[in-house]
Amino acid sequence: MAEGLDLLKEQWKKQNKNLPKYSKDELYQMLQKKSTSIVKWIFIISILEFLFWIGLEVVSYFNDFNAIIDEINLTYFYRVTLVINHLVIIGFIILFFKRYKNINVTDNAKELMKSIIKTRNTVKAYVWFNVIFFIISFIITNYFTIKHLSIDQEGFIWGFIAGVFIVMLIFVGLLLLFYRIIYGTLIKRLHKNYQQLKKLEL
Amino acid sequence: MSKKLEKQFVELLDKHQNIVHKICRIYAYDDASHKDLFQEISIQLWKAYPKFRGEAKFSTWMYRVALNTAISLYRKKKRSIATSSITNFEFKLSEDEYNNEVEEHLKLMYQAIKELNDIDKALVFLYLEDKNYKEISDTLGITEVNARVKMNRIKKKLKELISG
Repeated sequence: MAEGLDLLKEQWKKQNKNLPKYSKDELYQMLQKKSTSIVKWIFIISILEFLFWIGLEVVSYFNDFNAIIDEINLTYFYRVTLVINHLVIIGFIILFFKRYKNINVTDNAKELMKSIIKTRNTVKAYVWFNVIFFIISFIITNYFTIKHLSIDQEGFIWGFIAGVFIVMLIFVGLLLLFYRIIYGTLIKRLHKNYQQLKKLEL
Repeated sequence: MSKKLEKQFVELLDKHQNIVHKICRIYAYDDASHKDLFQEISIQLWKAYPKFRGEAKFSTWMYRVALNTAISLYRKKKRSIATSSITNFEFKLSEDEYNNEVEEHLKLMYQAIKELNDIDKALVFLYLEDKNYKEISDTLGITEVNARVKMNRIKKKLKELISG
């Protein structure tokens, strides 16, 4: 007598009549439902991420930010960084859509997981680019702002630096938390399965 | 997508729905999650269907998309009553095959499979479906040698799980 998995294999073929069966109507209805696949969620969240950073720029554009920049003589620096930033955003968006289009459910499992992770990493790189860019321009802008202030306000300057630093830390902290919560739960299982497949190749 | 295409697809899905049900039997943990996974697989199949050119058999193509959904795309919903219906959800022997000892053994085997990780489950599923190592390796994206080695390890692990 066969045992273990081979016994199950013998019985496996005979189970067809015991399987549930959905009617064609039920199948039609299922196709009308919305997918909850992780790729769909990665897509939605990524688009929101792009919009968030673009929105942040629009907000700063309509604020008094430009006047401050002019006052502390950073107009040229600001314009150059703005152009670089826009070019990078466009580059990232193009890359993201290319990667997203490359996700193909009929690839083998390993390739599929790889392309999902790659797409996700593109947006992750984009967000980190923005954070680092933000930190650098924040530091430079504040350096010139402090320089612009008169020297006898030393106590105020240190308070200002501390304040700026705390704001930056909170911002980066929130971003990391956001990643842990949103993506941690979203692709934890996918990551685990991908590692399992990769381990097989060792 | 056109109504004609949809009708054609539902015919095929209906004809081969057993494949999807069997995958759900391996991956789902109760009737509700069985239906959830079945639905997600159907949607993914339907989305990919316009690209199906008929180079492969529909069922072969279906194995790939369905398994990919189960191990790469599907998001398990958290349910507080997840374990309540597991006993009703085991492998059922057909009535005429009824044999206590065999059934008990199969029940244990089924429970042991549920404890495997997603990738091992995929290998077990393809093995039970009598796929050869070439097909298994093509579906998962690993080499044939690795698929064989891994399958032997899983068999051993299942034996240990049952006897332990």
